[in-house]
Amino acid sequence: MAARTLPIKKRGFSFEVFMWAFTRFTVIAMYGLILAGIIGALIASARTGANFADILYWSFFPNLAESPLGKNFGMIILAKLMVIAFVLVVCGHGVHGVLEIWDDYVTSESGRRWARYIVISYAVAASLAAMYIIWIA
Amino acid sequence: MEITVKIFRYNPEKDQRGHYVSYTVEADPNDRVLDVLELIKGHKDGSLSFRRSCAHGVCGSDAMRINGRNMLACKTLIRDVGANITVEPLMGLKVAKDLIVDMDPFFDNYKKMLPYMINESPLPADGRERLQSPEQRARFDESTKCIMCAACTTSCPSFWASDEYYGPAALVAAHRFVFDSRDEGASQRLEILSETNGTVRCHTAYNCTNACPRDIQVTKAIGELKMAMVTGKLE
Repeated sequence: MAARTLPIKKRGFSFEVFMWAFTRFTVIAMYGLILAGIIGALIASARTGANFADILYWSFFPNLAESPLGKNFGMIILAKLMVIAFVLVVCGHGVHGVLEIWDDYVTSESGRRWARYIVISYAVAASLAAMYIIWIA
Repeated sequence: MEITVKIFRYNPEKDQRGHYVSYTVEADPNDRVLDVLELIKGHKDGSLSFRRSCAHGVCGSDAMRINGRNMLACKTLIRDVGANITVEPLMGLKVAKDLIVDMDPFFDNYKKMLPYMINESPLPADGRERLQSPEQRARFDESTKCIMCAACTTSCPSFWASDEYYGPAALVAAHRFVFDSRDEGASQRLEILSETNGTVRCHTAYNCTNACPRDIQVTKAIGELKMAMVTGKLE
């Protein structure tokens, strides 16, 4: 018997479902980026003979202007892109978390709609500002 | 053995708010909580109100909170809950009297799932049954076991927040038909489930799975509905 698969238009793939899926993807991406950051910091610290505190510093508070590997332009661009990607997925994940909590307390249709407008606008603005700050760092 | 049963009491005609009354009764460890409630109603306080019908875990009438957990009173033995028992109505639904809650929001949500077979296709050539393989039947076997007792829905934190959330039991009802190979209403149901009060309100707390007296993997069923929305696969 043929497999039953619904076309995209008939799956009920609404904005809410998209946000649900996006939230799951962002958390997976977050884990991937954290892992990449830690591995990168371990490699960089091994090359420069750094101690454990340096590894933690380079994992979670990377100073993009002062790379331990020297002024490698390509590496700094890559590091900036990695940090920007991390900020974007964290922001996307966090925004949906705020909406989830909001929806527990506000059940009116208009209240929920406005919450989405406000929170998503904030997320876009915050992401753009963060991207700019990271890029010029 | 002597046991103490602390029961939530509320009479809307007399009480401003609910309160607890304790009863001390003799019970056998193999007695069920329902037996004890019947004993109290029959011999101690005839005004005690609670729902019950089949008394064998099939009708789902006597779901209530026993020592803080949603259970069927007819399937819960005294020996499993101890000598000090607290019995309360289900959470998230308005208390009508004592242990009886207003089930209307629960059944309203159930009805929204279109809980009936939708198939507009012509009947098979022999004009009789729409056949289904054992594998196709097994796909939704678990969700057919639901007895609509509301133990899952009323253990759900999202439902406590708002009874507009369809709730686990309604989603299990949707699962039963969405994955039925004979049904053609999956897209209609997934459309309904994609609303703000649909599957996205499930935060996978797993309370529903723990509460189900029929051992249905409720959270898994909801997860399968979510995946069907994303992938469109109904097998």
